[in-house]
Amino acid sequence: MKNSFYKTGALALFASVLLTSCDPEVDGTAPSKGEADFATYVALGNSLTAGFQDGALYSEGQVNSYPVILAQQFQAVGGSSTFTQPLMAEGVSAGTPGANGVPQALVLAPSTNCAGEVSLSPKVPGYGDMSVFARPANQGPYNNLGVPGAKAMHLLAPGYGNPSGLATQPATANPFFVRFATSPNTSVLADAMAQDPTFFTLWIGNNDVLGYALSGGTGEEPTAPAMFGGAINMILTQLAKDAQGAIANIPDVSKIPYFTTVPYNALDLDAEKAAQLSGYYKQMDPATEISFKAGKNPFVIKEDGVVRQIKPTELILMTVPAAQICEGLGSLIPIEDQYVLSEAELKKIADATQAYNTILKDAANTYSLAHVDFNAYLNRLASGIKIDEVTYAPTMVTGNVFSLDGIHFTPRGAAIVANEFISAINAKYNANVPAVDITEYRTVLLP
Amino acid sequence: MKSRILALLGGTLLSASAMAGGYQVNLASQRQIGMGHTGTGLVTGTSSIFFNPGAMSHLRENGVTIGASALVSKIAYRALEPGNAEAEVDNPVKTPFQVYAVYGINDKLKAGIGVYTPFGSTVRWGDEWPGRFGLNELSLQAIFVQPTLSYQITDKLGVGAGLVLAFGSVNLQKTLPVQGQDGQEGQIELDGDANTAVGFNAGIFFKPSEKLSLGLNYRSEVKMELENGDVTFSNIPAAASGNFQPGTQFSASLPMPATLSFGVGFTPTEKLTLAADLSHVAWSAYERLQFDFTKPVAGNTSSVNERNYEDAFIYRIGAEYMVTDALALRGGAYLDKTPVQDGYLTPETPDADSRGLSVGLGYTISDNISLDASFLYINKKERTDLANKSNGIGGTFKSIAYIPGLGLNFSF
Repeated sequence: MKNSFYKTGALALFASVLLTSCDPEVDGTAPSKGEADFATYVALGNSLTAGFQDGALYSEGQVNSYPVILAQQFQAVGGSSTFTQPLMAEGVSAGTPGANGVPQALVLAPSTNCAGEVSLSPKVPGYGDMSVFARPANQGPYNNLGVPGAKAMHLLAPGYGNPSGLATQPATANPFFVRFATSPNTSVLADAMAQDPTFFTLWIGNNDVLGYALSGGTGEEPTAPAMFGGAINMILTQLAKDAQGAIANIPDVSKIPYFTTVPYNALDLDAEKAAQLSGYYKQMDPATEISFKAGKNPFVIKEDGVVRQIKPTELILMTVPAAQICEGLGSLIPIEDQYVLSEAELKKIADATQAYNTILKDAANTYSLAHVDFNAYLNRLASGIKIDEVTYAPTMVTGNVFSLDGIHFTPRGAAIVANEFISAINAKYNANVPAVDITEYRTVLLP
Repeated sequence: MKSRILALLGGTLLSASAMAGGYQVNLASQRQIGMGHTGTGLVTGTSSIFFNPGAMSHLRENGVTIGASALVSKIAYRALEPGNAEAEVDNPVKTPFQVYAVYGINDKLKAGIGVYTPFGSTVRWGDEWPGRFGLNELSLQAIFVQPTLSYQITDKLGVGAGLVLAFGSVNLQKTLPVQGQDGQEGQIELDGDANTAVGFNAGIFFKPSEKLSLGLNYRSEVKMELENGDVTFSNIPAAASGNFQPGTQFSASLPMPATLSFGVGFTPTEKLTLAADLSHVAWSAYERLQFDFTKPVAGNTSSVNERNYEDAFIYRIGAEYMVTDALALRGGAYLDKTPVQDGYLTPETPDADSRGLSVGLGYTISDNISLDASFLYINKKERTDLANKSNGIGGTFKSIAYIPGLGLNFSF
């Protein structure tokens, strides 16, 4: 009895082993580091690298930054199990300091315009003071050296993390680096080199042109390409000397939601209102070319002092006070220059972007680095990319890639960026770093 | 959103079976499962109602058969490289069944009725896998009822035909790419009963000699149509509620394709029966899947997804050997070619060329009662597909199934 029970049990065990071992399996290519060495990885760059999202640096964006995702994927092929970031304290967020203080991370909130229409839009929920830039609680050295606001040359600048440089005119320091620089007179690059990296990613240059674009072409001119190229070469001379890495080019900023969300012709008029407005401008100047018709009309702008209607090829910034449109903004009252990118300004942006990208491509060749073409990627994204039944596009909220600021990524967007890096790295180093499952990362959270 | 939902539904209806080409479930008789599901050219017993109504007239006794299978199916998924995310379905065990009864009105004319389940399966990926925006779970039930008449024209020739009444239902669930403040993703569920659909099953059976028999069978297309199915949304953030309105209903239709089969039976000795079948399944009837919604879903009131199935063949062989007068041993094999073209794979039907191996035994307990047991192992080719034409989930899929079954025959 005992014996037969044993036999039955053994048979059942055998059967279950047989059935389990017959579960279907799909074998993939084994992860491999190829010719690369991911033992010590550092990430250099700007806000995109730091994990800035929703207009601020805060811990959720940091822990979902693309360098963290890359480091996690590198672990499968010999990368370190630790990747340290200068984390913000929980519940604290820091945007770029401005006249009102330090803006907190944007939230989607309903707003009502003068016509009584309610719409959801990104809002700054409040402002903090400079104390939000307190030093991180966790110890360095920090593998993620992304500094929001940094241009290429800033990575080389000694004192860029010196608190005393915050108050100078112009400021020579950046509060986002001040909070984690290892010493007042170090540079971002020096802090990177001190870690003896075996592998790096460098994604810099966006701010060399973005600042100009964000000001509607009224602010600081794009960095001269010669100066940009000099900075990139100085950085890579050191960084790529003993390390492998990937260098990313910059997308055409005019294609991100910050610049493409407000349509040029969102001025919707009935026939009577159109006639009134046409009459108003005719009265002001009989020779005016400004006229309106029933339906959608181009907004009236004031560009370089000239009041005119915007062209279909020109862009209005997302920050335009949209609630005032029903009060006559863009019709009776021209939209100010700082909210508009004219054809000439867009050309300046495109030229600078192209010049930088040529420099970055040449640098990838010169220093034998993986080259990640985000400019091409954003162009593909522009028509919508469908991945596993979700559409990704450079549109606010529904596009899933960009966070509420229209410039920086959602965690899902960061995961997509990480996978673009991985593709280029795998190709360059004959590696097989596994791509990440992007659906594990959130998109925009709706109220 | 529209196309996502379309893809979901399309897959749902189609994926009736993950375990046969396209969405057919070929488990119509325990004896015949043991013989590689051959039977068009044989007198298979009461199940000739399904395999070839023309052969039913050659039955010598009245009989009733009931049987059922336990369908244990497993599908593994791996993301397209360099991705390495993996998932496996957690399918419940399904129980396709069959009931046949045949009664001789006179020596020449037989009447019968069959109830069987040519569709009926659940594919459950869950709501955490990378393809959840394509499908969480699809459950399809279909029952065919087939009253049949068969007439023996001569000792050698029989014809028969049956009317098919088809009843079906579908439940499809998937995740929507909207997230609330708590990070929870929205869900959509489509649930509905199909209208009763009509088709037919007709066959000719020819037995030129004691040792040889031939059969030709045609099962017509049955078009399943769903109207007023319910669309239920859950976890939809308030800001997106306008896109996913309560009370939305859907309609859709799905062709269950015509199958033309030719079968040969050969009895070299009294103890041995050999059979071979060739089936042509007119899958090309399934060109696209269209869903119509009574309220716009994410702004669209209908959606169309291309399917573009191709006609496919099934090749079957089977054998039965009478060890004693009471004990029969059976074996068989088949190759079921996939109708799904490259680029059109879906997680509802991650189809590929399917290889089936079967064994079975029959045991006669008394003059009136006999038992059949079968075991079928199905192994589909591993298939990697971008799914870029079907709005499916790209990746590599591998399916296998274990299908034991039991049947009871009562004759009088």
